[in-house]
Formats: sequence, C-alpha cells, structure tokens
Amino acid sequence: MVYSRLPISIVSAGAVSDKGAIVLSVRDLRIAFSSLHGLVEVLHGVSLHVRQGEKVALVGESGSGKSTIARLVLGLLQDQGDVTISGSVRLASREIVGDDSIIRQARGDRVSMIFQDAVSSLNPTFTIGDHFREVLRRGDPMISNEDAARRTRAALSDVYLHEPDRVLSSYVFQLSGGMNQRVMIALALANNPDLVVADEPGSSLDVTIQARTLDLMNDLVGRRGASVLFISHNLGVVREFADRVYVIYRGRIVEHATTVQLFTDARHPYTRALLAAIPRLDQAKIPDVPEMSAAYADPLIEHPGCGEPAQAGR
Amino acid sequence: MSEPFLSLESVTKRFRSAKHEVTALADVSISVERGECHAIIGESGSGKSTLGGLVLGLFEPSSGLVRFKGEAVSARRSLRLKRAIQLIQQNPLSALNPRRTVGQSIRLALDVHNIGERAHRSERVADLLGEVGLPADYARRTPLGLSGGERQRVAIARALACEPELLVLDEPTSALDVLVQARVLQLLMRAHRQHNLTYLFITHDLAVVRTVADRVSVFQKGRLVEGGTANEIFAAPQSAYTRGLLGAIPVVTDEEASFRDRFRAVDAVNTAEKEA
Repeated sequence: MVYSRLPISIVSAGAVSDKGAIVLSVRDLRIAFSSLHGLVEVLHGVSLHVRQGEKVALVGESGSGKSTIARLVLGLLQDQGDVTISGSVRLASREIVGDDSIIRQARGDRVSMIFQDAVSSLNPTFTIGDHFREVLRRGDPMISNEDAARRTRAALSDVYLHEPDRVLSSYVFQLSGGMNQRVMIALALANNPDLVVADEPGSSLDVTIQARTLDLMNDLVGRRGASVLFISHNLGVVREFADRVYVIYRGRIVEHATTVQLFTDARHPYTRALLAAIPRLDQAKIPDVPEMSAAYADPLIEHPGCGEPAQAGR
Repeated sequence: MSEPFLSLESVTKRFRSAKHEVTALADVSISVERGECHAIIGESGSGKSTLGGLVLGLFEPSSGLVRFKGEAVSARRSLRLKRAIQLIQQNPLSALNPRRTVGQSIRLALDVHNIGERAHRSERVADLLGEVGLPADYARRTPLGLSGGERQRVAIARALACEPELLVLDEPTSALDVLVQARVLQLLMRAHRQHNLTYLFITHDLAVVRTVADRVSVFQKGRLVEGGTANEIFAAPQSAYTRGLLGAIPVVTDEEASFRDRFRAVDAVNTAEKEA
C-alpha cells in the first residue's frame, strides 16, 4: 500500500493514536457550478483525510458544501455537465477527479453511502430482496443464489431485523422509517466496504431510533474495520460518534480537531458559536449568539496532531 | 373556578380510511393557562400535530370538546376565533403563497380581519417586519428568494399581524440550522412576553422545550403519558417513556451528558430490579 511509509514527523504527530493507512484523501478541492450568473464556487480549497478504521465527521450548516463533498467522493457529481472540479480526491491511492472509472467500479462495493432519507433512496418498485441481490452482485457478479440468500440473512440479522422473509418481500413503503434506515445500513455494509459515506444518517428519525441507528452503525463499522466519513449538522451526534472532526463553513474548513479537542477546547469563532447556539437540556435559557459574524470566516484552526499528512504516491 | 383559557376535554380523534381506522388521540384532557408556553412533546405518531389541528379547528374531534375561552372550537368556528388562534408551521414555504410578495401576504392578514385603518396598513406591515428583525424593503420580495430563517420570520410577522391570543407552533424551528434556530427562538419568546401571548409549542426536540416551556405534556401513541411544569418534568420525569426520550438525546457537553445519563441510569436500575 502506497501510504504505508509516511514521513516520520506525521506518523509521530500524536493525538490520533491509531495511524492506519489513508483510505480517503481530499486535497485543495474546489467545486464550481455554472449558473445563469456565471460560475459559482461552492468549495474553496477543502482538504481532508480519513484513515482506515477511523470515523471522521464533517460538520456544517445547510449550504456549507458538506453534501457536495459526499457526492463527489461517491462519484455522483463527476458526470454532471455544469460542474467544474479542481484539486484531488484519492480513494486508497487512486485519483478519482478527472477519471471516474475507478469510482464507478468501487461504488456500492469498496465505497458505499448511507443517505439521510432511506425511503427516497431506495427504489419503490423493487422489493428489499431485489436491492440486496443487486448490491451483492456488484461485489461478486458470479455469486450464487444460495450464497446471496445466506449473506442477505446475515446482513439483516446484523441490523436486528428479525423477520427476514417479511422484510425481503416488502417494498419500501411497507416498512417503518427506522426499519428502512436499518435496511439501508445493511445494504451499505453488505460488501464489507473500505469506506462508508454517511450523510445525516438517522436525522429524519425520532431520537430514540436515531440513537439505536448510530449504535448499530458504530458497532458494525467497528467490527469490520471500515472507515466512515460522517456528514452531519448535529454536533451532539458527532460528539457521540466521531473520532475526529472537520468543521466546514461556507465551503471552507474552519476547524480540524479530534472529537475530544473540539468539545473541550473549540477555538474557531464559528465552532464556538455553533456550540453555544445549541439548546441545552440542563439549562432553561435560550442561547444568545449572532447568526452572522465576520469572524466566522476566520482562517482554519488546526489542533495539535491533526494536520493533513503529506500526500504520498505522487 | 374560572374558565380555563384553552382546554381539551376527553378528546378522541379517529381517522378513517376504507380499510383502516387510526386513533390519533385517545381520551386526552389538558388545560392551558393564559400567558403560558405549553409544550406538547412526543415522537412521530404520538398525535401531537393532530392535537394542534384540533385546537386550530381544522377538523372536529370524534368525541370530546376543545374550548377556547369557553367557546367550542370546531371546523365551523367564527372569524373571531380564526383571528385569535394562529399557526406557525415547520415549513414556512408551504405556509406562504410563493406568488405573493412578503408584504402582500402580511397585508392580506390585516385586510381579511379588517385590522387598523386601510391607509395605515402599509406602515403596519413595515412595523411588523421590523419587529421580526427584517428590513422594510423585504415587503417587496417573494418567499423563494429568502433563507429558511427569514421565511420563518415572515410567517411569524403574519401571525402577529392578526394580533392573536394563542399561537400554535408546530415544530417552528426544527428545519432551521442551530444558529438561526437560536435567533428565531429569541424572537418568539420576545413576542410571547411583549404581547402576553399563549403558546402551544409542539415539538420532538426536548432541549428546545427546556429553553422555552413553562409546562409540558408528553404524548405517546395518542395518549397523554404525563404532564407537569417544565421544572418537574426535567428534574424527575415519572414515566419510563419520558426518561427514554430524555436519555436518547445527543448532547455536546459533559455536564449535559451527566444530566442526561441520570435518566438512562434510572431505567437500567428498574430493568435490573425486574429481572432480579
């Protein structure tokens, strides 16, 4: 693996203890969409990385560009005509900007995605069983029906769906929101991917079901050593799920820290405002923070041990 | 005893379709005092929005009675009641007519209820926009050109235009980013104090409830599970359901986490006792 020999200074840099191989590396990524008024740049030079077995969160408000990054990593933006992309996105060590053949192969197999809204992400004209067959064939086109059925049942029992026959013969609209979310997690993990991109998973669900969904994801990715790029607007969820956090504001990363660092010692004015704005269970008063401030656009603050590693393999 | 400001008396609401019958609310009685912020909390399917619809008179209860200042609220309610009880929805885009300017939408509320002198109404629109923190020239803009927070401010301005007594707020900040949410909550609570309004605040977000509510009613599957002052509910929730809701909330500080984890601990002990 290309990244196995990293410069010593970075390997020993500290705060993140387990320095696995780099699964995803994004460098100076700029994305612009063409509109009636010319090019509109929505990402202004974003760099981030995810190592093997790591859960990395990308936190920001609506319009910050966080979902655009997710879609690019999944190769869902590249063939769109009105997009201009520059910079580098590497999966393992392979560049996917400018050449989408690699991500086309990897999607649904080595890289998979969990969307916020499971119901509209699953095809209403196919049964859940059809979805599993399709996904498993992506990983292994020659898979036998028996093997597919066996792995499907195992995947369902992993997400605590205990009536496989009913679930597999159901359509999306015949299952509850929480069940669909679990089906989607099972589908995303069915081929033991190296990287799972989770875009606001469970945020359309009730809190009790959301908590269960996150526990489940945590447990499953932990057992399989998969990496997660976790995209969310909810700092509470991030605190409970992620190892490391990037805070994004209007297309720029403004703070990069381990989860512990971010929640004990947030330094960027934007991050501090976000944290202060969250209503607290233990405080009966409405937070008072400005919606906008020039300081929110201050430059990136990187906490000790959290720098971007040098990009190897070039 | 004096007449309660708003009351639900043994209200049951069933919805029927060809095959199914769903009981959205089952024998619910609550009363809301004038001037309080009364939170209705529960998960999806708990019946909390059905309750809001009944209070607004959008549909009739299957049995029982909804009373506002002694008067029965029904689908055939008077224009006076329609003016006195206003709604703020989760998605202001669906509440505002996209083809009308912001000014026209607010002005319409004044015209329908014949509030103030005709000649002064444009001025009143500008005042209302000022009250919700928007510049007067927003009157000429349309909802599609505004951000989510700005749209919600317009919806609040239109509700205030009617000089209401009761606001039904159905997840008013759930679709907003946290920074915007904080500002909109500030605005709502300022209006609450200044106009001596009564709020029926429907939400699934218990942290928001903690910051705004005086009293809380907890719903599960159409039934009232428990009710009390916000201080009581957050200090010592009586039902396992409420503790489960509180215990599941993702939090951002250690103090908050230890506060929350008390609720988890109670039920862990209860479960252990049952099993022992």
